[in-house]
Amino acid sequence: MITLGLSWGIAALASALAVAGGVAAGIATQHLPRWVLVAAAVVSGVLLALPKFIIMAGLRVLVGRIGLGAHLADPDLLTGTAGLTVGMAVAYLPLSFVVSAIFYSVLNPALGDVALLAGWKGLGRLRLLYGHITALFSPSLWAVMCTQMLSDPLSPQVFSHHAEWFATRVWWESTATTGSPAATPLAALLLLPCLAFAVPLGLYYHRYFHRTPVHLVRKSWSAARTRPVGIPLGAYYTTIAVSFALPVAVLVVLVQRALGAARPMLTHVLPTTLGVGVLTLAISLLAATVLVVVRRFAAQRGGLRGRRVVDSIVLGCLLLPGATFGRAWQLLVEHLPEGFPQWENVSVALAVTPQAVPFMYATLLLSGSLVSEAEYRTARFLGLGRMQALRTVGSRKATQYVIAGFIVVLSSSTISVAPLMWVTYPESQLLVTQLYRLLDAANYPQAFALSLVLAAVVIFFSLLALLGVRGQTHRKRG
Amino acid sequence: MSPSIHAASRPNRLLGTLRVGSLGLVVLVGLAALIYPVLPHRIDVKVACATDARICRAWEQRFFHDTSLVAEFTALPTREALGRIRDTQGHPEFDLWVGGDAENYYSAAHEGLLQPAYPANAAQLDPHFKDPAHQWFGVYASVLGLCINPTVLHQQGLATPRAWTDLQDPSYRGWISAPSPLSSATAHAMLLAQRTAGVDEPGLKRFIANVDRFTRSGNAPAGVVASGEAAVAVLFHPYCSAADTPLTMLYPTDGTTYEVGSAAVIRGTTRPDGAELALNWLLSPRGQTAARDAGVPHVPVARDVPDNLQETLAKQHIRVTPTDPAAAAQEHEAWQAWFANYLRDPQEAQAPQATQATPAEVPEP
Repeated sequence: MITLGLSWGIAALASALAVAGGVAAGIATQHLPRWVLVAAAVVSGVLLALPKFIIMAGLRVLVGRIGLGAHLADPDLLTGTAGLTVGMAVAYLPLSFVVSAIFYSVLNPALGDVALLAGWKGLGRLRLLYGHITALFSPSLWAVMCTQMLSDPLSPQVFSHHAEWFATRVWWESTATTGSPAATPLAALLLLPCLAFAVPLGLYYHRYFHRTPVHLVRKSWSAARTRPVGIPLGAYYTTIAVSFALPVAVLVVLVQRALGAARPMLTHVLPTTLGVGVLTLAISLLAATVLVVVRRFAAQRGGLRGRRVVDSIVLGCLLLPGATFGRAWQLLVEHLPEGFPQWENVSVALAVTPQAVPFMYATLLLSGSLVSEAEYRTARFLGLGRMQALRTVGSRKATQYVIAGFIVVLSSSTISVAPLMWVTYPESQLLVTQLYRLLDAANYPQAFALSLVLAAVVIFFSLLALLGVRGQTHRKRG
Repeated sequence: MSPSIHAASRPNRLLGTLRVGSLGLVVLVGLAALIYPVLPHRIDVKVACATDARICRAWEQRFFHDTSLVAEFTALPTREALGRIRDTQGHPEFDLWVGGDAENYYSAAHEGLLQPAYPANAAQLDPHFKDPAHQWFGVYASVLGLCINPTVLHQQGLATPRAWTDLQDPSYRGWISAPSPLSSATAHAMLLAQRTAGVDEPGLKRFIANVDRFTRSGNAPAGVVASGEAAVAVLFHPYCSAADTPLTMLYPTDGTTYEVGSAAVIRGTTRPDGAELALNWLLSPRGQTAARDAGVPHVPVARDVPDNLQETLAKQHIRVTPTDPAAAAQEHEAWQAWFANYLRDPQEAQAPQATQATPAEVPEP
């Protein structure tokens, strides 16, 4: 219980720091030149496609004894609780920033000017502009990040944290000393602090939506973005491309050199990891579609309350600790009846799916809400089938949300640690297991190079998909 | 159609083709990636391989080359292999288990997890390298020692450690790499070797306090010491090597131990013939030298292979106190619990009482 309390304390503080940092950065980039936002988004996007323990290892290299730490006064800086807290906060900062930036991007930019004209200045103006929407997403973000940190057995380990970390213990009890009777109750115990989030969060959002009528929340959510007139976009994008080309070229050369002996590994790791990612995507899309239908059914029966119950259950899956689910899945797989096909990668995809479903569900709901109901009815009235009508009236923004959702699910399933570490072998040809093996032996250059290559592949295919779909919608409108 | 309109529509068509092509490529890669993980492939024997991944690959390739049988070697730490075999008792996921110290096989045999086998090449093994009930057989040996990075040692102004007791010196704080006793069988050998060498519990705690990061795998400290993050690593001698860093292997003057990496057929296997064939091949001279040829100098245990364990120990004058597998197996969980308690509260942890080997059962160096 002491270990759990300490782990929870560190995770709670680190996620609070990450939320604060992400919110501050998100607000700052709204007021800085646009290229700063673009640069921050690109860097965060790349970091999001890397496992958290890789970021932690990067920090260790940067400020550890083979980096800047060699010149620091205290070589044990990283092994203490404070070091781990700050390290975890930094690792989760990109996620926090991206979520904040997405939420702030839907605010009407004119509101700032209106507030200024109305005499609001300084912190009061910021509070007026961002307070409401920050209060909407930050508690959930904190709880989800806290759950993820608590379930992560690898990050504290690669950071050489000397005290016992609860998730690491559960993992080792479940794998290294498999058969240990302590593994299952410990994994179940991890559920307690995470479930404890659910009640206060439920009360908080009940109060939030009670005080903020739905139409007010929706009013601030504008799918349309203003585009500045008169800015030469060609020159703008060229400047961005040129400023990124040099660091990217340097990175490619460094990655090429660092990969070294790990290069042959790519031929196995790449298809297997992507395969599991795509499989997860397909299963979660299927599950999310079913859940959306259930939500619709619940809304017909129970109105707003019914809809919210389904929403809460599905989104509540994000508060399910991966370590607990991993142990449960591990037990299930080990006790499959004889002759049952044991496809490790399918098992991994199924294990990762519960974490992917809420994202996919939210994506479908969000994209669905951007489809004009009047246009849809008109299309149906004109004789189009359901899918055909949906394709015809589906807005570009909605399509982009779907693609963005796919990207999030694909990239998160390729870097997920818990429950993956419970259902794989240490030598499995998956990105996370191979990276951990490399980091365990302090092989940092190969680990960083391998993770960057995989991140680049995921980003490349995502951009390719985006280009294809945007092209389709452009052509249709043209 | 006028030439100007024709010229304008060409880039549009090209762009359209590019877009359709990119979508098609994404769908194609997605489908291929979907199908790839579930494609069936022929396997004649599935092996849990609890040693260095390079050796597992070498065994896999050589076995196929010599027998035309497809063996799937899955590399995993010894304790995890044992755990998985325990958990899948009755419907095993592997047919053969190879690698890791004999004490683990002793435990597995006692729990009824292993199946007797009669490989012809086992005749070349000394009696203490195989189970009298034919449930497990020694395949290779390696000696526990200290892997030193002389450059780091020099840069930090640290003395070269000669004995286990030297590693308790506070000057080494943060400069030692060792595997975790919670996950690694090597770490258990490390604790037992120190106890046998006369290190008391406070001494063990001082040593542990000097370790920077406990690795999951028993071989990983070699990488840590090669990267310069540590000056000294505790591991078995075959793994003390790095591509571009000079490392030195030393054996503690107050005594060390060696492991007998073993192999066994798992009870309930659905491919008993493949498992026995693979076991016999591992005990053959080809199997015994495969690791050495792959660049990992495991010591063969079979008498008919040159430079086997007895010859090596005699040549190198290493002070070795072999561990009795039965005693080591009995103590293993107690040491794991001790280490877990130590992580929680270093003052409270109480080391288990040693139940040492009966010398008659182990070979004299």
